[in-house]
Amino acid sequence: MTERRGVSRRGFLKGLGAAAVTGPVGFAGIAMAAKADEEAAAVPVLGPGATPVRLKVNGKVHDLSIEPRVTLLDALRDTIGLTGPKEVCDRGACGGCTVLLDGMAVCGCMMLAIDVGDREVTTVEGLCGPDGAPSDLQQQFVAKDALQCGYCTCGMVTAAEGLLRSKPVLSPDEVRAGISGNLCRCGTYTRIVEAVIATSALRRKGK
Amino acid sequence: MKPFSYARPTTAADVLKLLSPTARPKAGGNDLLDLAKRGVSTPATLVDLSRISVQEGGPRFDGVTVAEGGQLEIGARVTLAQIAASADVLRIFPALADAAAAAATPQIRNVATLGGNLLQRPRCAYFRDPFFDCLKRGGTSCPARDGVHDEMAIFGNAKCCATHPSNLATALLAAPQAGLATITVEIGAKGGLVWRTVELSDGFFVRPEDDPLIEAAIAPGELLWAAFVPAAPVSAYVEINQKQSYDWASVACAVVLDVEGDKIADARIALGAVAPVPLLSEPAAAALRGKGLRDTAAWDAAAAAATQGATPLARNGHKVRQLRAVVRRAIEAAVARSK
Amino acid sequence: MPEKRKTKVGFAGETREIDVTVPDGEPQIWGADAKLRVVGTRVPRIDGVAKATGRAEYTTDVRLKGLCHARVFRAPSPGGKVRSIDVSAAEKAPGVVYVRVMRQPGQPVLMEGQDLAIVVAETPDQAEDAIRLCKADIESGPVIVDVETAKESGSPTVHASSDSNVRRGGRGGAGNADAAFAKADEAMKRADIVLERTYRTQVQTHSALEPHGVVIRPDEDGGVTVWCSTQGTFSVRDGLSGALKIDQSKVHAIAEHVGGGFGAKFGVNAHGSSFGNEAARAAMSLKRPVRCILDRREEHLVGGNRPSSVQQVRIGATKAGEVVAYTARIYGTAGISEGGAGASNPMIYGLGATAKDEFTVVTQAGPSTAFRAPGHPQGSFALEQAIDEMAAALDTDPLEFRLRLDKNPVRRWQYQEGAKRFGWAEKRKRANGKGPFRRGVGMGSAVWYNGGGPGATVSVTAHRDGSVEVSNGAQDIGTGTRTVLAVIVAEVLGLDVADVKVNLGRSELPFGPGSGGSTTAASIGPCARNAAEAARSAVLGEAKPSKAAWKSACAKMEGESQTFTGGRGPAYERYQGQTAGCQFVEVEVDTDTGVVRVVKVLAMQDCGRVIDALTAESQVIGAVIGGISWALFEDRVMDPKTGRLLNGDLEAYRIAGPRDVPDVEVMMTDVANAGNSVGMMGLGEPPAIPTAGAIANAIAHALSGVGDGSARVREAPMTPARVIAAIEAAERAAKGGK
Repeated sequence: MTERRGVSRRGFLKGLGAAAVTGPVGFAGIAMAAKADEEAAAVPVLGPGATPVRLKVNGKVHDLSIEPRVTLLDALRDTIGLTGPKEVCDRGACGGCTVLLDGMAVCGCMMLAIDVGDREVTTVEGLCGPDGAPSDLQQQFVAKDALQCGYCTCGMVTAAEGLLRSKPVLSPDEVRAGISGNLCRCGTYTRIVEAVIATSALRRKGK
Repeated sequence: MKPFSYARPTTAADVLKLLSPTARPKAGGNDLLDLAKRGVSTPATLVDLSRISVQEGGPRFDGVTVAEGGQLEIGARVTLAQIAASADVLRIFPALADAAAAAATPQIRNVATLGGNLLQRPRCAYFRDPFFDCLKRGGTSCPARDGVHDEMAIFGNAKCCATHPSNLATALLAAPQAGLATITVEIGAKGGLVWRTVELSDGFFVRPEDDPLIEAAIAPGELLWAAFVPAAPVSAYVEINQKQSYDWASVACAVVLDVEGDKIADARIALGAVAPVPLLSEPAAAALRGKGLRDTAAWDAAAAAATQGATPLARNGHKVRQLRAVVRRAIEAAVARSK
Repeated sequence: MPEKRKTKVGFAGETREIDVTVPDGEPQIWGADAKLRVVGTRVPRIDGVAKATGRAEYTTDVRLKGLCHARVFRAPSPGGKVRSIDVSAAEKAPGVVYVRVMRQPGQPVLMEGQDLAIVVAETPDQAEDAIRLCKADIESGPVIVDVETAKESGSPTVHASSDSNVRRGGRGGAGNADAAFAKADEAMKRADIVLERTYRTQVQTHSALEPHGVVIRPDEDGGVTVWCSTQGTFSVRDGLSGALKIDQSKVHAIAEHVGGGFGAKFGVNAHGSSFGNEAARAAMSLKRPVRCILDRREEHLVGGNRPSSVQQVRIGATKAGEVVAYTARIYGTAGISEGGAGASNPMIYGLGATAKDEFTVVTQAGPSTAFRAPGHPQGSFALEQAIDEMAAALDTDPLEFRLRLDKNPVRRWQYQEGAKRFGWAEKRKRANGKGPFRRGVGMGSAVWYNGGGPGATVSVTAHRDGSVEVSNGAQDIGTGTRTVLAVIVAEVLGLDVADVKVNLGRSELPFGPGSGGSTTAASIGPCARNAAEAARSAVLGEAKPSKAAWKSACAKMEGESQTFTGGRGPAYERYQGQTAGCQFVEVEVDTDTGVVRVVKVLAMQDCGRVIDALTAESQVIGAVIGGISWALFEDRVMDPKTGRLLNGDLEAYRIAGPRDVPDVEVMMTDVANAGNSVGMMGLGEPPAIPTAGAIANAIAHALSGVGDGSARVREAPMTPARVIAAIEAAERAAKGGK
């Protein structure tokens, strides 16, 4: 390992106004001995074998027994049996596995199931109405033909839903930026933008 | 991925006690899982950072706060999405918001953290494939230098030509006296927690000549905790990408200007994606000092100066022209932020 | 008896009446004057809701009781012969139920990704863990991945059986090439201007988002049921029937929904891996269902690809603007395949005497396979640029020049209508800008020939309650086949599209073709019409089709349901035996960074009769976006020293994302083409052809004010590095340097 380079307190001070000194420098070298000295309760270490993991998915609680290495995507597909989130690139580069965590779009392939904790997972299935009816956004995807082979569609719809929740009014460029983590090999982007804009307009009218 | 166990500490002290070369801290996990899936990294244990509480009395692990004196404190666990959307960051050091907004994809920005972004490993295809002999993985040579290196370093590339992947690092480097706080357990009987701060431009980044195995001077038992950024409102970060939807920067530049009246009193210009570590370009900064804020000839001179000393390889000469452009544009973007 | 019937054919620009010999039992063709209620309207695809809600089941989604999971152990790089493959540790690994070595000692390892062994385990993770325990001892051998060195005489060869890596006659055969060149050389003597140019295109991988994959379940009767991500349901049935030596009747292939194919998915295997056959053997041996899905790196390695091309082109013209000759010597690599490289230059333009000689250079990379308009985008990339370069040499507008060279009435109409809509004349004349951002426009053209053919059968079943099922075993790979059949049958029976249920993608249904050559819809669409007409005439008689009439007639019909079938014969007389298209592209080039942004595309496309305007336009938009992606981004990169793939993911293998493409405008040219009872032609491939060449031309136009104005990027992908190289060469030339 590299030898620890100088803490550079001197360098850090250099040129800083007096008022700023209360900032970083204030912390340098402070030993929080009291806390560290306390005999910590044993830290739970799970796995590497199967361990209990509770997931809240589309409003339902699932108690699973999975290894810590299992990604959220694999848990959703292989253990819970959902089909919406797809594995495409397995590296967070395509968005095919997009799900919402407390309403925020994330890639299921780059998150461990064990890391989800109490957060509510919503997949494309969970965007439907209670009777399985397509949501307004899903209907617009169909109406505008914003899908071809359909393999990217679940991730696209979910990413777009996350986008609409964070920003209800969007320009076409903002839609493109907002779904820029999703790839479509059939080339449906033009119509996805139309579908998202149309949904945004419908939701505003509905309010 | 190979199986690993998963530790769930709730205090920083417990995290630090657990960390080791085979027990790695996990925050957003994007880089960690990518390396694990590729077999480059095979941690025996992941140490979850999501449950540790904010330490009383120390800087915060979470959140963006404005300290006395107007400087920003950003916890290492803050996500890129939060940084990009933070009104405080946009006001106090907009270059960092630019850099965060330009990173990766919306999904990744929702999860990836400041700490993970700064400490992520290079994207070099040779480094990320255990098949190759690679200096960065303890090997003896750099296969990229004689191989495919179109997107690789044009400075400091004699030994290893991987570029530093962090655009937030480039932005932070441009801020004068930007610092990072790290936390570790003191060696010795007491075993107390020890903070240290390190200035980004003074020893945080490690060149391959000094140690090819790492890019940052963080010890295995040490945790990146927070970043401090003095106010630098006249600042901007710009990167050039081949593809506009998720692509790593071909070249990047962060500019911080100290403006007095209509003059540039001082400037700091950081270059990203062109060397194994982010670089501060003193020749570029010098070309701006004392010049008029809108002296475009000075911008051009600074842009040209930034490419001084470049040593492009057989297949990446285009990055020199791109670098000139991105420096010029970053200066222009910073100037646009002066009132 | 077949009868001749007068039929009005043509399109907005021209209609005429022709005599068409309609086979017995086929209805009157929908001619140019047909009054159609549903056909040609905008109908959302009928499986859209299933896809948008996650309910559509793809092969990767199939979960069965007792399912086990297979992974293939693959060669890490090309090498010499296999010394040994040791799977003993894998056999003992937790959960492993089956291991079989696929490459024997003494056999060569031709490429990274070559099948070495298959491992089947209880869980996907256990299979992956076991793969890591497999060991291969492989002799070292030469690395042959660079085309230029591989084609030199004296280069080590990929296939030990031959003494050269070069195979003449990529597609057309070598026989006539020499004679054609002699003729073209003679014609070239008349030229006042001869341009010699070399154009290059890269290897592109299909990268369908759903990887190749199978789920195979042994059945009680000794047969198997196989779910497969395929563009040929029956090719899967036939492949497994052959591999397992069981009757075709006992192989049930299912491809209900398919996550893209683009040419790479025929049969039960991938082009570079026999994982499907091996998974089937494992399933039979285990008497358990086995799932084997390729990962993304495997897709790039063994899933097939579009070959590269180097096209040495000569074009000669007189000062008056007559092109007298066009010749091309073309080589490229199709990986370990011994053919398939080359490029197609269909004769869109009158080019005088033409000649082509094609060579495939064998290298140690995954074998190529058909990819959306095989050979055509490559040929078009060269041809369209050569046309523009000659137009520039003649100081003629590229559109004017094409109008002079192109006699096809549909395309001529498209050129003129498209130019108006696009604003070609103004954009061409407009200054390209003075700052770093330069705009330019370019264009290119497409031709396609397929209008489907005979062999398929579609059944239409009328149920007593008036509901209707349409069935064919072919697959819908995202093209909209399912919807097209529903539209046609609804039209005939007077129903709404929603009243028609379509069953596709099962080999126990009537035969349908594989999706290649843009033939699926045009092959089975007319069958659907013919079957529906039979149903109409039997159930409705002379009554005017309507929902009410149909319902009441069904209630009165004999039996609980009646099934009618329809086929189709070879194409009969038609307006023209080809389809036409052209595209107009506007780009913005950042001359400081070399980054190219496509800001506008207008695609004019003919596919004969348009059945569903909505999904037809989607096909064109998708083809254009695929073209942009190939033109600017995609490139399979191999390490020259080791032959190992460097970008086997979807990050460093760049595919155009939402911010990399403009809104693509499509104008379908509806041509009543006759040829079959519906008048359909193929659509999937032709709009993928002209995009890259048009972009290259637009880039050249954008850069016409830079340096000496000569900058043009003749190599795809047109990366920032290549754009900058072209700009800097033009800047040097302007300064008098070289």
